[in-house]
Amino acid sequence: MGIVFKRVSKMYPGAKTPAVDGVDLVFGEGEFIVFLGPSGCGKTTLLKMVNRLYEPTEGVIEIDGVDISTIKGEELRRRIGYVIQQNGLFPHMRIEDNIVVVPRLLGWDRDRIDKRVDELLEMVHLDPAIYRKRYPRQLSGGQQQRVGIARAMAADPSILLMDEPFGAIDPITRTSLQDELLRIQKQLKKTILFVTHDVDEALRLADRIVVMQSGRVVQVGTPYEILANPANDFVRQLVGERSLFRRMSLLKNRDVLRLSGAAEAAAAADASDPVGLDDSVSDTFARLVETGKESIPVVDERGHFAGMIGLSHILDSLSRTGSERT
Amino acid sequence: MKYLLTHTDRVLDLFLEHLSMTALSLCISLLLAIPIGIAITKYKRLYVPVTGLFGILYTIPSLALFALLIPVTGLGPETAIIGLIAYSQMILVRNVAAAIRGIDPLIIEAAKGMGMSKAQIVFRIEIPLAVPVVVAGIRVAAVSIISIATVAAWINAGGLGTLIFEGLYRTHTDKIVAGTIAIAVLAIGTDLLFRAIERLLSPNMS
Repeated sequence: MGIVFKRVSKMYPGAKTPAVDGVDLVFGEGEFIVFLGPSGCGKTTLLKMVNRLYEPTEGVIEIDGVDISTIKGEELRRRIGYVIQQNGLFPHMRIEDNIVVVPRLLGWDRDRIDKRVDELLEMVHLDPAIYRKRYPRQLSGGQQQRVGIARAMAADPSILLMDEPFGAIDPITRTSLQDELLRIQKQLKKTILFVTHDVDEALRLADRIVVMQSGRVVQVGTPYEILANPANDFVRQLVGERSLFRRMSLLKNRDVLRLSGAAEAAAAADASDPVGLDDSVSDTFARLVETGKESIPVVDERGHFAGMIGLSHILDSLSRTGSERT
Repeated sequence: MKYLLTHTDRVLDLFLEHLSMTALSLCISLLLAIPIGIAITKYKRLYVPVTGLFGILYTIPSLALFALLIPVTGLGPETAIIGLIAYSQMILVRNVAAAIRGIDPLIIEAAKGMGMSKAQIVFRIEIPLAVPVVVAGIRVAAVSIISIATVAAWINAGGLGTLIFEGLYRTHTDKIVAGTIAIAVLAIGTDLLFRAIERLLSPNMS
């Protein structure tokens, strides 16, 4: 299940080279996928083929096993949330009307729509009492994009397409919107396909990053994998020289245990004050330095002991996943 | 000025005649221009020939156009209304097209991406967003129709032009002045009315 691309190509009329060239991808349900690449690499084209704003020249895209070319475009789009750069709001409609465009298209009744507006505004932390009746231009760019996200979620779609949604927003607001999106994603488990050319944004948001160049997929992997083992010089240049701390913040305790074999270590001598399996290694590192302890216990979600991590394990993991290519 | 005071009833009658002739022309014009204007933005190939045709019509002097229409539709207000519609098409069609073209393409993309059909995009997004701009065009068209309609008195269409032509034939300057003042009042009043409508429609969004 999820979204599957099978040898998908897109050739624009009059173009010499395809915008998207034989892309094969499989995404699971609830994954946060970021398409990363320079402009013109085909990432937006690929995204817009998912809701049939563009049609592939070749290949098939399936959602939950169904070839989307068999679904009427408008029907498909009403089932998929769509967020674009900030100006996608309708300037002649109040915020409440903007938000419930899709539910109205789907013919929801008035009470249900009314309740939904409040729910959605609260979800994106805008007070309904203040913002329902306003017009988009009375809101800041960041607030407008919150509304954009709420609008995309209105009919509770399982898939969300986001085309550089935070591209035109100042860095501080962008970070808070990213946090918001991650929180919402964690809560609602949407499958998100997100297009950006901003490497930091991709590293921050993605479960998996799809790096694209000239219409082809160059590398698919978790942010850490992309950072630690860039598939070629293009990816290396794209992600650039990221500091050790950056990598550490993307590495989880789980990875360190796996990579360094620390899981086999003897049971905890001192199991107090543990860290979680999915916490970032940078926190563990900071804890080691602050407390001066030799190693720190790691526990899983249920609180069961999973292993001990010491400084040497962290350094070992970083060097294994960094310099040496696997 | 004397005529205006002594024959107020007649001037008022002609004023209303003028008003109804121009109002009717404007209504029919809009019914034509809105779909034509939308069509030439959807089928871009039509834009140049259609606006070109109306452009040529617009260059024909009004007196000549009315004269050319007489053999086809005869004398009277019908002929005048047809002529006035032809003139206002040029202004209105271009204006409707420009209003729709002026809408941010991102907004249309968002509408499409949310699953609106083509008709829903036209009626829920494009027309409402185009209205304030179109009203400005209607204002310009209305004022120019009012002035062109004056000439229509020459083909027996009635209206305030009647006073001016009568004044010309009988060198009755007072009649000409009365007619001119009445037309000016109508034109300025119409302009102010549409400006008010424009203001009513736009503050929402800014």
